[in-house]
Amino acid sequence: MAWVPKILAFVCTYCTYTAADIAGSARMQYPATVRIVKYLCTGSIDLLHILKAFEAGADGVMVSGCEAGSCHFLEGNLRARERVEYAQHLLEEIGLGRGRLEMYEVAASDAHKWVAVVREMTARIKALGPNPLKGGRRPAADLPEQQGGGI
Amino acid sequence: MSKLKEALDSGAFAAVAELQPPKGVRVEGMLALVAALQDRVTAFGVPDNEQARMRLSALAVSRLAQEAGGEPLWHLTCRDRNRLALESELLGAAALGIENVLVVSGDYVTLGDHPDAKPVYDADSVQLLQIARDLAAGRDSAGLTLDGAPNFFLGAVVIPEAEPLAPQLLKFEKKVKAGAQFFVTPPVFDLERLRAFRQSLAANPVKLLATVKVLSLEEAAQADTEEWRQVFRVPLEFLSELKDLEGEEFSRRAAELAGGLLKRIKAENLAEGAYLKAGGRVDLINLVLKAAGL
Amino acid sequence: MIIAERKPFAEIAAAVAPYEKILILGCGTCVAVCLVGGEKEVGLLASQLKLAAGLRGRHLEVGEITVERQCDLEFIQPLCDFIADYDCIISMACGAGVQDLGQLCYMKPIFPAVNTSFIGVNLEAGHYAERCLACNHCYLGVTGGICPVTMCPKGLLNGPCGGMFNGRCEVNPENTCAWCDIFYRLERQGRLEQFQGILPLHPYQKRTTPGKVIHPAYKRRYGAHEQA
Repeated sequence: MAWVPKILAFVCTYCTYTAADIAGSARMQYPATVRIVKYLCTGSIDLLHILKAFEAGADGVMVSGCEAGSCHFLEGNLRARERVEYAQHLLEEIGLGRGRLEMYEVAASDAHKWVAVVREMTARIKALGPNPLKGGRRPAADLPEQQGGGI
Repeated sequence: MSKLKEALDSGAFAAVAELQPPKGVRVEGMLALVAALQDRVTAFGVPDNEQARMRLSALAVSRLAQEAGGEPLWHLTCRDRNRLALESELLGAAALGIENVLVVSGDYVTLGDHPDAKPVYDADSVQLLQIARDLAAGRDSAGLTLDGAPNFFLGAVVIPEAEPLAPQLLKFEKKVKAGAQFFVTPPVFDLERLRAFRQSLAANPVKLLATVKVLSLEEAAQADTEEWRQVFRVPLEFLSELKDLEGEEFSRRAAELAGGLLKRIKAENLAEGAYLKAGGRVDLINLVLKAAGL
Repeated sequence: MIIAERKPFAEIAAAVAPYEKILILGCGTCVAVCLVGGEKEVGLLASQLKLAAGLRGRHLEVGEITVERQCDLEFIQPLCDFIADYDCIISMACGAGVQDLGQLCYMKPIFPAVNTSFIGVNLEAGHYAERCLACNHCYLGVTGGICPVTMCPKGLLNGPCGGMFNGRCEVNPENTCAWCDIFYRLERQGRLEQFQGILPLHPYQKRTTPGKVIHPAYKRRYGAHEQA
């Protein structure tokens, strides 16, 4: 059976979660690669949650919060961005690369954007291949070149 | 007896030409400058690892200049030595017959060519003046008696263009109190601040050597930019006189302008003497002196 | 407090490469406040080590413990029971903590995970600045509460150097000149006469390493009164 990426989506309940909900209600189609974890605010996402996700075998992690300036808690999304960037640095340090982690901004009304970012992240993870930590399937030396971070 | 002290005390306008100690041991060129100028200037300034760039020992150069017939004005920086080294070198200088000492803090090591070196600054310039004065009085900084006391003519730096000026002036007063007998300014291009400083000096018996510098092409180019971190300012009118000039033409014009400044400093009695910086070039110093009518 | 920076992961990983059971020991005092060596950072380093080992097909056993203060025997002594189970220790404390722990567990290899930077203050979250060199001869009373030994890169004691420009430091123009700051502070307090006095040569003898302090109340206990 073909490998399907498992991507954890850490999302904010006020924006991205609502957008994903609308996308679902409207029967919009997108890859079944994401497992959504709802947070009260992306500002409460811990660096450890991200690293533990990769330890547990996630192929990718996407953090998605409110657009800059519209955080329900004023600046939780800005803090999340700082943390995601630092986590990318930590992942790069150990050789996993920063590409498997990304921060997005999806407003509550923007179901189309949610669909687009899931597609984008899925394509990116497909290109990167499975998390090499999952069951030690492939030794590090055989890893494909990893693409840089950012969109 | 120091000729420099004599000249400054007598009211004769003193001229000190700065030597450029080589980075290496080839000293002929530098000593040729001494031979060529010894009758035209009072003394020769010998910078000590200027701008934190390692060069031949200033004390050795001072001695060599002396042997070549010139009187040295030896610079001593606090950056590179602890108090033992400062004191023993001061005694060493005295034993070699070097009397004129210019005490400086020293540019920080990270600005020079050995940025990883350990900066010392065991004494600051005020304390070093006190140390030298104490040595001359027959005791070292630990209070121990010397077997034969040295004799120094002590100088320090003052910055009339400092911004803000007040803390600099307080430090200047401390230097006077600590025994500085003469002061050297950074290069002067705009006489306004020097005039103001001179007037405030009325009550002080200290002698002033104003530095006159022949700008190099690179310095002129930098003076216009944001990166310029020198402690002197070059007015735009001055720079415009040098605009579009290159190579030797530039240097000659810069020397003439420096000579013009020197002439005005002397005519207005803004200083008792001048300290000439021209990258160690005889021809440029001659040009400056000629343009100044000295 | 003591400010530190975490070492690059590659350096830590190289140091512990020969070991399979690793104990990471955090410290809950200064390095926890400056976000480099507390419980959270211990967890992050443990996770990084495990992930990196996994990428190389290895399995690591990584223990995580954070004590209140690693520079205090009282807090680290209870660790003796756990340490036997591990091949080596990574300490995330400052240099003092690493050494205290190392002395206690002298049979185990110990590796520092942070570089101890300085004694400083918290400007805002994640932003720290040096304020004290621990020179053991405090001048703050005569310098308006601004330390010339620390805040002037040259440690000058009698006023600004020639490199001061527009009230800025020649060494790093982002910084104000310590002696200008001292001047303004004393001027505002009407205490400029403090600036006028010449401070004598600094007594470096007081800072001969390794320093040692015995509180006066404990002089008898540690026999210091015999020397005095």
